[in-house]
Amino acid sequence: MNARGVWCCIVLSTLVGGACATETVFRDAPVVWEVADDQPIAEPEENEYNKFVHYPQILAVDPVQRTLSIPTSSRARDINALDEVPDSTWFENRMGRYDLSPDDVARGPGGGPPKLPLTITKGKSFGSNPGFFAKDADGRRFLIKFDLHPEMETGNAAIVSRLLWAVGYHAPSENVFWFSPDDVVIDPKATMDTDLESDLPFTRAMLEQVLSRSVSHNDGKHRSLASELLPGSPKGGWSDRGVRKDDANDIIPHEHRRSLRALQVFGAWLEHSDINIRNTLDVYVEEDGRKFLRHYLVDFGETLGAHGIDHAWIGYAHLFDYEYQFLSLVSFGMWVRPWEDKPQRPFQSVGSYIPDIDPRSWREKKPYYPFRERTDADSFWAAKIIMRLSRDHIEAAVKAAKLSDPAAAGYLVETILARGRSIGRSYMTEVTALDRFGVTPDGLCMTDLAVHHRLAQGGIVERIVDGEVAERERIAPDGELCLAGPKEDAYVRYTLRTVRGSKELEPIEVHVRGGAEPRVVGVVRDF
Amino acid sequence: MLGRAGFSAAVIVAALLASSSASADEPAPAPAPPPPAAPADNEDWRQRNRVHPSDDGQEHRADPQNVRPVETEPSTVATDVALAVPRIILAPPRVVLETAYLPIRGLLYLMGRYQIPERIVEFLYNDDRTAAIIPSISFIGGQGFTAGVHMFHEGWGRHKERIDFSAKFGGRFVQAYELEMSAPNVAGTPFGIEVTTRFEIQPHLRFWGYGPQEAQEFEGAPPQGPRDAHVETRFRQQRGMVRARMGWSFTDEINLGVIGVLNRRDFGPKETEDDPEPSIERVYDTSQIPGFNFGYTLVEPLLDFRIDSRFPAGTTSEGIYFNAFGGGAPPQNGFRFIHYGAEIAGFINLFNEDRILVLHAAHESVLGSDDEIPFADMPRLGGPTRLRGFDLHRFRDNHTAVVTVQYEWPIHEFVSGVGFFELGSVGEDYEELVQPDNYRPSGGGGLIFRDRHTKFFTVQMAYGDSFQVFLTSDPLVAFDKRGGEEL
Repeated sequence: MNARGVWCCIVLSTLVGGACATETVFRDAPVVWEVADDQPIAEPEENEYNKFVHYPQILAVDPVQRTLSIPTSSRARDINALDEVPDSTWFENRMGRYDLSPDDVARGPGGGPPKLPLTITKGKSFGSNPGFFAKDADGRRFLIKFDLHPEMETGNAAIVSRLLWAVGYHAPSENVFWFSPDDVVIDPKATMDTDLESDLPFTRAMLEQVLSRSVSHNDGKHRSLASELLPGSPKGGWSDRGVRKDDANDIIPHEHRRSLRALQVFGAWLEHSDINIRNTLDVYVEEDGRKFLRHYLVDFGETLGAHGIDHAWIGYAHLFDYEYQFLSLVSFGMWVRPWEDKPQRPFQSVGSYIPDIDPRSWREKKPYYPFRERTDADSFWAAKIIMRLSRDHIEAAVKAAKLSDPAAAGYLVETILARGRSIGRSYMTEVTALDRFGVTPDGLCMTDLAVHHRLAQGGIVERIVDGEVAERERIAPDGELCLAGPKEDAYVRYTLRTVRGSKELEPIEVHVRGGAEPRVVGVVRDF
Repeated sequence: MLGRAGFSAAVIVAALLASSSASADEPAPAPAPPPPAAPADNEDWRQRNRVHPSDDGQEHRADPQNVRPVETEPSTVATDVALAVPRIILAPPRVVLETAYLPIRGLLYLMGRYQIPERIVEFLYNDDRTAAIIPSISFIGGQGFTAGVHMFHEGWGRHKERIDFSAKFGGRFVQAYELEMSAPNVAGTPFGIEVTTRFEIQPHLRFWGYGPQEAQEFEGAPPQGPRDAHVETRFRQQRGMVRARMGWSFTDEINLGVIGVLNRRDFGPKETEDDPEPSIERVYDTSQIPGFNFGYTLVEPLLDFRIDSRFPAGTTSEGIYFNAFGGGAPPQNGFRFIHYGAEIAGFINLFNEDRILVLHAAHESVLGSDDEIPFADMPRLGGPTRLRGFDLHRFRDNHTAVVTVQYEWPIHEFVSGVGFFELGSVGEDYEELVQPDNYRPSGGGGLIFRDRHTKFFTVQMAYGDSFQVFLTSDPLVAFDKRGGEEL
């Protein structure tokens, strides 16, 4: 680039944030699988949630500001050389890096149900889903919650906490268990807070009021969810934009984290529509003498369609969805909105959770800013992880819901699998879905995940050099193939694209260093 | 004037089994390096095979800035160059918007930080939410703001007894007070009582004379009788009313009752020069307007029959409302007339219980000679509930008829669209009433704001002989079971 080009580049970069490098070059460094974002920090203040600020911001201000800024998509900033998200305080590679067993998924975050009796230490506000805080016989601390629909909310939380844990998110241990009022004692110091009053004594009458709201009970025993309190000090949820100023480890704007952008895909999979600051939690933890924030997803009771029972549009539209509302207004009701021919839910214990979805058009309840920044590469990453979960994994998670009706459990398993495949089809068949690269004596070997997961049949992988097809290789029925490896101690950039029928899919780059130990040093998916 | 831009607002403070039989079963896993040597406790999964052949099993920990070790990498936003100009153009509006929003954000923050709405509700309502004192504010175009308070207490008896009191000041009223007590099932029986008392002073009411004629301009002619001129004028009314209804419910849907109404009305010229329209006495010979000059007291008994098959809560999507009444004023103070009417509204669920067609027809008559019927008891059309494209009380005469076709459709979970067409006529007799030339069309649309159980308020625009805007929380009872206004 000559001097004029450099100056032009600097000016344009200043104006619009663009960069001027033309090619990616990876350093010869090992692939990073762990981010050192657990450095000691001073204890942060609790991140205050203010719904009167939050709602206008996400529903009105952000959409207008974003429109005026003419946004374009950009690559996530929390990815490693293999285009994966390394372990951090936000995410930990589990199914994405390891072959978890169904037993691993069944255990989920660990822990287990409480050991009776329970000692209530504090009441939970009599909101839509009342409950209480309690200690078990071993001194473990739990939040005990109940169902609003038979077996539904408790079961959903048990399932989804395990699946989100399996895909890599930090989630609390959530277990379904039964207890009778005789298994509960009230700590004399137990209190209860209401919206405006604090430290009211928690009484037996309050317990009875809480239990009276429970819809799942039998022979005097109440079905409930034991959500084990996270170790550490809770500091509120994380914002959907920018960074947390009192966390020096938090240097990547949240909207540029793939782990948060891809929650749209996981949300569509599990109908986790209410992803927002209130369903996240930063916890100030101490490990090996270091104190830092770890970031959790919490509160999964309204997933798997529970939220959609009374709000049929959940999953199809935002709470204020200007597109749908405009179309509804001008169509004078003649337009049948997509959720209006949704089939009825077939089981009492299963929410409005259907197998047929269009993952690309799925919408969260309240607009979540990282989703607006999501790219197909982010979605491909999420789809890869989802597709690695087998029927056995899903069955192990659903078993944790302890549903009394096996048909309902079977429906959930089939629906979770079906939605996973819809996601796979959406995000793996439209792009070059090559992954799992390795340099072997056979050359640069890889797997076409669309074929591997039987989402697509066959195809050819082409290597492009200077705009011309330099090499072609047919994809094997199991999705695997190898291309000629690097011959010398050189840095080789493989530009690869899959061709299926007459369709040339979005290409990717695989960067390989040759020599005595040829190795993959980087993967670029800019789609 | 409610008409031209009339606002009436009241701000009152949740087995398809296996469509895909395929699973995400995987063939044999890709070859993987051996597991890490020392897995963490209770993290057995770290001992499993790894997915990526190039994964050496080590963590290779790095700072967040060095996770992706690139020497150079083009930005994926490089195409932004083409967008630089529009971004620069749109930058000022962004800054203006951000700046303008800052104080609003501050106020919102304070509202949330100090739980102001919760505290207000806590202050206004009792613990059981069965009693409250709710402030209200309304604005009526041409008449100004009305501020007030509405108090209610329900559930104090064992059979849905309720008491309401409201007071309003300013705007349409100088002052208005209403006390209402209702016991729909006295002592658990089908017998019900409603008693309403009201006192109000309205300084801006309008009068166009009697009949269906087009409005005339005021040209300074000598005062005339109410059938001789049709000029918009203003007058003042002071009214005291006691209304009692005793009814018997034969079923949940059918009720027969007796109504007794005692009205004391006094009238006068308009009170303010702010209104551009002339005072009534400049246009009309008020001695020819029955009841105007000396006011009057009138007792009117009525027999009342109702059928209401609409669902009692939420959006009305199907059912019928029918109301017929008959009676009148026996001879008293020089007045006597027969008064009767009927109203029917049918709700047809076109689709999904939220595309609703409402067919409505209403007829009201008073029979007697003009000089024996107080002008204020003449049936009227116009305003936010009947013949919406016309000013409030635009038409009055012995007979009125109005038909409405209204369509409601969903826009949002809490907002519906509404479109309507109305045709209304008034006449001195039935022959005049049914004259096609006398029928006035009116059409419009608007929005209905509601939650799943309650209709909060409606905003409507309509055009008949003038453009009308209404914002009301008190719709016609025929259109909403929780409505407040009756024939």
